[in-house]
Amino acid sequence: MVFSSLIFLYIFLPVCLIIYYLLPNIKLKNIHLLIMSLIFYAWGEPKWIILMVGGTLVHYIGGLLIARTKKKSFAKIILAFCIFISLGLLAVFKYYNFFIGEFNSIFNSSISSLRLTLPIGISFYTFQTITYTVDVYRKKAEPQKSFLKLLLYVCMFPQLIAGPIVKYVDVEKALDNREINLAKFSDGLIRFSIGLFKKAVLANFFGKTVSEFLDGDLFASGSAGIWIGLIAYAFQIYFDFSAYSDMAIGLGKILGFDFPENFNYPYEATSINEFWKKWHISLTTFFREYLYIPLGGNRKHHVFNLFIVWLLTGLWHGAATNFILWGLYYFVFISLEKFFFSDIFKKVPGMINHTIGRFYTLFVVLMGWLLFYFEDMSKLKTALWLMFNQKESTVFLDPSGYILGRIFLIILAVFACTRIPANIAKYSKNIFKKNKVLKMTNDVLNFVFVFALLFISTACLVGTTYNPFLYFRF
Amino acid sequence: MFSNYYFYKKIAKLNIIIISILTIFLMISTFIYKSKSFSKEENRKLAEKPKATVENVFSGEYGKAYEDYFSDHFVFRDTFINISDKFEDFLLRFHKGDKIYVNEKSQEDFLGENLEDHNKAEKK
Repeated sequence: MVFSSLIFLYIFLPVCLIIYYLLPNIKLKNIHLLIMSLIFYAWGEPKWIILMVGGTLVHYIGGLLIARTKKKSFAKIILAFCIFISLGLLAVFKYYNFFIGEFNSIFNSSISSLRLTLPIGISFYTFQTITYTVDVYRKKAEPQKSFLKLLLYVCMFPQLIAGPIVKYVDVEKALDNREINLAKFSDGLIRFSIGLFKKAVLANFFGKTVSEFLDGDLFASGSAGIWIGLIAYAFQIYFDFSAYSDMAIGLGKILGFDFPENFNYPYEATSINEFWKKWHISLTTFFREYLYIPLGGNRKHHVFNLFIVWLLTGLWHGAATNFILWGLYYFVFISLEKFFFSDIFKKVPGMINHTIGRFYTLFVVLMGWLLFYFEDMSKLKTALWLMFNQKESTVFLDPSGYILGRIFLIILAVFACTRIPANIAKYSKNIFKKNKVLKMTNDVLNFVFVFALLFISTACLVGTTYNPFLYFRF
Repeated sequence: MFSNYYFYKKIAKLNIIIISILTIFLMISTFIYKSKSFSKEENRKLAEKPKATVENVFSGEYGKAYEDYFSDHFVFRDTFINISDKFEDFLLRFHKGDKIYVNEKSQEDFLGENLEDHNKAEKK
């Protein structure tokens, strides 16, 4: 099931929340949430539930054993085994066919590929179980005595499929003791509605533009068309993915959980390092805490550590060569910035630094999306060539006319990428706090805002029946 | 009225209460609503309610089929589609049939018409 579907919004979610709020204590709420989450997952792919439950069971037992043993070497072996199981599942289901394909082409063999569909959410829940066991080993978390509670952490429907990678320690206390109240419900609802709008309206609009110009014959799109398609893709992928995180965080709040932020206005970044502190934050946090720092961080063989992390970051996003190259592309810029440019950045005065930094970052990121989009290397080459060799398309529309004709959409999109709307909201909230009449006005405005977002999003969803998330191949 | 603390607290989170009422209304009306089985505008038969069997539930097919069914028979579907079209028109407000031209090197006519005539027709 996807958040941006009518069945989720108007059957699953209302039923789930009504029952959740009616249940008298946390224990019952947890059981209910677990059942609903399993239904949510099974709705799309019933058979892979067993993988998720099985993997969690391994970590559950592992966690208990690690905490109980006095021998550190034994604990290490258990930990390694659990990690091996999780990564093994990931390797088989997600990467086997890719690796076999590469192996075959290098060694001219013909090992057959497995006919396996990718279990939804596997890239997320395998990492989440790893955070649990590692943190138990590091004595940052108590082993969870209840298997069902651990399973709840892993498969909670807000973050199960593409939500932020939530570390176990972030949720550990909330499993037993969380604040559920109307204020959080209201905040969560607002957040959720914003995410829904970003996905159902903005991401889908731009998705159409992307298909129009980047799928099919690139020469028909011409140079301008490819630039337009690429910029549209930059918008689409941001709105799509950040929307899912918004909805996950919003739903989490409604249920009483505080999930960590996953995006922080990445397109406002002034350097690539800063960009990656604002994009898919939970992934970079995961890699930093569970891979980069154990490898030695910036103390031992710094460049090598960075290389491994970025290689895997790229690989995590997809089982294809272009994703690996995309990861390494960022490795290059991250390293250049850390080792060569940081001195230059400091010498240039703030304002100029910021402006140049923004243009530089946006350009690098935009080119990165090109690499991310085209899995087919020959198409990528064509696109690149066309972008820098002005070639009129064969059948095409006037580019400036195209952009001006969609100016409202573009203004809305740019606006939605910045922190301007959030600042307006914060500013007006401070004004409205002053007395009760204004506070009421604030509530009415909140309602109108949420209603408008939900209404428009619903309308757009009704128009389309096929509505997959981009980051859905995880 | 506004000085009454308890009254104010009750209507404090207006947005949730009203949204909840509306959603429940939507849910109920979905079940009561008698919708058609064929869409004239789309020229296709609207999805039928799928039957659940052990097989299709476990393969995930029942889930997908039920989603299609639910979407096709969603309450006020035509109104919503209408609204989404109008909204799309609003966002793409100045998009009036983008100008088309053909690469001069290519000798082919566009859509079988002569390009000059086509542009003249557009200007009208």
